[in-house]
Amino acid sequence: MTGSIRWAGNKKRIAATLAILLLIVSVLSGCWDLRYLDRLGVVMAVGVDSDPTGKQQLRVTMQTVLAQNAAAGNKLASEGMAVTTFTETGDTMFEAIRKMTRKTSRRLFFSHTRLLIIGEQAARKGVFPLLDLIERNPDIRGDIAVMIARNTTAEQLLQTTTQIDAIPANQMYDTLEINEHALGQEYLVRVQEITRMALQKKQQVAIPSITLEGDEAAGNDEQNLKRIHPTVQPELSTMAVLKEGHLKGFLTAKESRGLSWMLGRVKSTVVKAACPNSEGYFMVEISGSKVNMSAVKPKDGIPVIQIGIKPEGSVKEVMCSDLPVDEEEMLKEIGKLIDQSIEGEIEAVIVKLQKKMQLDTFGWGRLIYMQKPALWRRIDKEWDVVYPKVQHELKIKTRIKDTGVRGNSIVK
Amino acid sequence: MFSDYMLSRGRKKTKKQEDREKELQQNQLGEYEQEPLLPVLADNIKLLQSEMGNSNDIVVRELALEGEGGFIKVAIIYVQGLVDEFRMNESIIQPMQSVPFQAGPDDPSRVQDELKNKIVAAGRVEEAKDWKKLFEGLFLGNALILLDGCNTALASSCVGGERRAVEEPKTETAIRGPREGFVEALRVNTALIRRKIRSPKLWMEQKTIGRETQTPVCIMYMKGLASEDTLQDLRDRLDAIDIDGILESSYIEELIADQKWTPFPTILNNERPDVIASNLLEGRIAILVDGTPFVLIVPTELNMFFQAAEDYYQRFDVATFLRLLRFFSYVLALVMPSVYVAVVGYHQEMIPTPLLLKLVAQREGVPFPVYLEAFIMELVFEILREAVVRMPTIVGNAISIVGGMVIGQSVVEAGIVSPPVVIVVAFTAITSFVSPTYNLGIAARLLRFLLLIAASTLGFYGISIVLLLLLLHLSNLRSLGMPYMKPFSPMFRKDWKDTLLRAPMWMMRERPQAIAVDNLVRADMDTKELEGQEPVQ
Repeated sequence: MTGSIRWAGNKKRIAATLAILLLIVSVLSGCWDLRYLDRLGVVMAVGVDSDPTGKQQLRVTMQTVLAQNAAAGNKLASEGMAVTTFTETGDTMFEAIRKMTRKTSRRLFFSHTRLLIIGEQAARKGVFPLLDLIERNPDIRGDIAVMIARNTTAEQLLQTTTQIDAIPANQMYDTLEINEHALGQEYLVRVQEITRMALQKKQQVAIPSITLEGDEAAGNDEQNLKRIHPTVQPELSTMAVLKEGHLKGFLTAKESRGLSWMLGRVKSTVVKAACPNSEGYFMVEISGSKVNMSAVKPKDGIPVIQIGIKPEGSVKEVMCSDLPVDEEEMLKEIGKLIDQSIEGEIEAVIVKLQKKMQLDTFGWGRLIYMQKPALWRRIDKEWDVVYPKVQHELKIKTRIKDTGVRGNSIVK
Repeated sequence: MFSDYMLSRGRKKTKKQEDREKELQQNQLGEYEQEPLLPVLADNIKLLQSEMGNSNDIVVRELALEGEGGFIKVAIIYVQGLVDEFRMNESIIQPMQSVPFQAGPDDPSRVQDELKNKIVAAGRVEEAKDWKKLFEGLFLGNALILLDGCNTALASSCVGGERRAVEEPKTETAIRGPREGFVEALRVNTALIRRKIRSPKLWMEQKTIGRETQTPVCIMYMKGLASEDTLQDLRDRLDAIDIDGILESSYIEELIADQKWTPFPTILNNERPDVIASNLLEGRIAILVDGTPFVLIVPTELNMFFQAAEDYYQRFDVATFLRLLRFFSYVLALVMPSVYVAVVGYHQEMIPTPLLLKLVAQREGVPFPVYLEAFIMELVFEILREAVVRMPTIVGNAISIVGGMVIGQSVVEAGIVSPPVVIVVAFTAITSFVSPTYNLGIAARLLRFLLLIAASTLGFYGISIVLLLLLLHLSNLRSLGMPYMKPFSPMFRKDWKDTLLRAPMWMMRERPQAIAVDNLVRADMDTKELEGQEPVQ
């Protein structure tokens, strides 16, 4: 009996001690990691240029949301801009960012950053050093999209107002996504993909580029928004190709989509082909494409890459007077015409990247490493010499599923 | 395991306590308690009146009745308001006066027999041999018949007085299902259950609890279904109660509960006879207390609080959906404000960007940190709710208008509180009303504040700590010795048919294994088998 009573007493004491400890802990923690929402400056995009004055390495621009202006439908919203930018120079990214506290009254918050824009100059110096901060810091996401500012600076781009989306970073990001899903000329590249490729060291990176269309100087002004056709607006350019993280050049629009075809990044696109028997063109909308690349046994020690591409699509526009799409045989012929168009794009990019620039953006080296390790061991050391000599066999087989809800065209 | 606990509780009665008990009992009814009545009628009347302080509602009607060889002095004593006076006149006084007695005043015991066996036309006539019985009979609404020269009294039942009629229960309404609810009178309530289960196996045990209130408490169970161990446990616990008054079943609920320190109700109460009947058929035990429509059910599981009577009257798919909805709402009611505080205060990266920007904009210029804001609004809501419950209905409307205006409009417009908090608090309020049982809802109200504190100091980490502790606590709870988290912990897979889901009737052929010890088959059974089955002893 006494035992049970003593135990009950102990139990009470333990409970009381625990309660007190819990209370102390909750006070000691002092709201530990608490961040006040209204004290955060939400950074949507980061821009990096090389410092034009040359005093320091980098010139970093932050596009930060002014939430009271950005949130539509908010009564408190004033007439001001949805975003503001802070620019600061520094030898490293972090230095520049922390130096910005001289100008911001809020803690910059990177968890929602979507976009990293790298100026052309800075990209030529090297992209990899700029990514370490993003990869290393747990507060910053690794799935930030990377773009290269072509013929302009990242700062200029981030200071350009946009009409459709009040936050320019969103507009640029969404444009890229729409482009990838509807034209396939450029595709989204995330920081973590670049890091992964850099670590594998067997594939060169390509990054989409963006430029400004119009009068650059007019971008940083409300007037740009008040016109029906803006004086200046961001416009996607083509894929930029890099070597070991250094910008080497830009592809043409044709080559750019050729690269997308090769890498299987085409989700949906349109392909143009000339009418077989008359003037004009017809269009096929591709709704999906399967790519199969494989390394086969070498001829004379030079590897051969087989590329098989199987797009699927349907005829969506016919401007030809003599293209009877309601004939079964015609569909196969259309498919072949489309094959030729796609082949042209792919051959163009192979010529450009393999022969001229000698950049292994296609990941052929990695392909050989994966599929023919013995061969790779032999050519690993002299891959730079071997690569331009690598043969390829391209096979494209487009399947036309249907011709839309119209039979033959009314074009005469 | 529980019997050990009971034993230790029994052993705790030291000599000192026993002395005190005796003293208390003496205070109770004075020295007359066990003593027989006096032989002279006038003395008895005098004693009774003085003992009761000449209370006005005690009516003493003295009669002189014609008997063999003289008049017999008789007194009829009753409490006004507890007795149906009209019926008493018809069944006791009129028959007494109309026919002369065969016995005379010199043989009062024969007169009493005559009265009891021949004259009094009441359903139940009992002999009260001592003062204790006499008072008991008096206060239960009997008319006492005292004879001169006789040291026992007759207690003739003619219970009457004002009572609430059987109405639709207010706390738990159903769209489909019986419309009757329990009332305050114990006998009506037991009858309501008898009307549902017409079986000789429905057994009933009555106890009187409360030193002063002498409240009749009734245990009802299905013989052969309810566990005998649990029954004995319950009897012991009820017998151990020593309190001056039982005014509501909640007194008993608190006094017999296994764990006293918990926000969760470990005993279910309900005012629907159909719910009680279905629980009796599962092998549970009902405790009916006179003076309240709320009947207790033991043993209780957490799971039962999410079941509404209507679940069994609607199609099983609908019922399952509603049950899941209820469970989900309860979780929401518990964690929503704290999750909001944690997300906004600590885990902003979890919010989709457009929503984050909205929230930032809304919080712009709000003077309080988010946790304080949430805390204030929750508190304001609790105050409003309490005010509406306590106020008369007419005033209640005014309160809701003022509350709605002040909270919904002005506070937000003045920029003192951000709109999302108001949305969260309002939605939490609605979800907390989904819980079919009121007292589990109150538990959520309390725990919400605990979670809010955890969330505002440690974010999601704090919430998960508190939720884990809650889970531990729940698994530790017992209801009359039975685990509260049954059938999840310990696990009874077969019983899961009627937990979060409600399986179709034709699939629930067996009673919950966790409750009924024997006689598991509920439906689709062989009748011969049932007849052969001996009740558990």
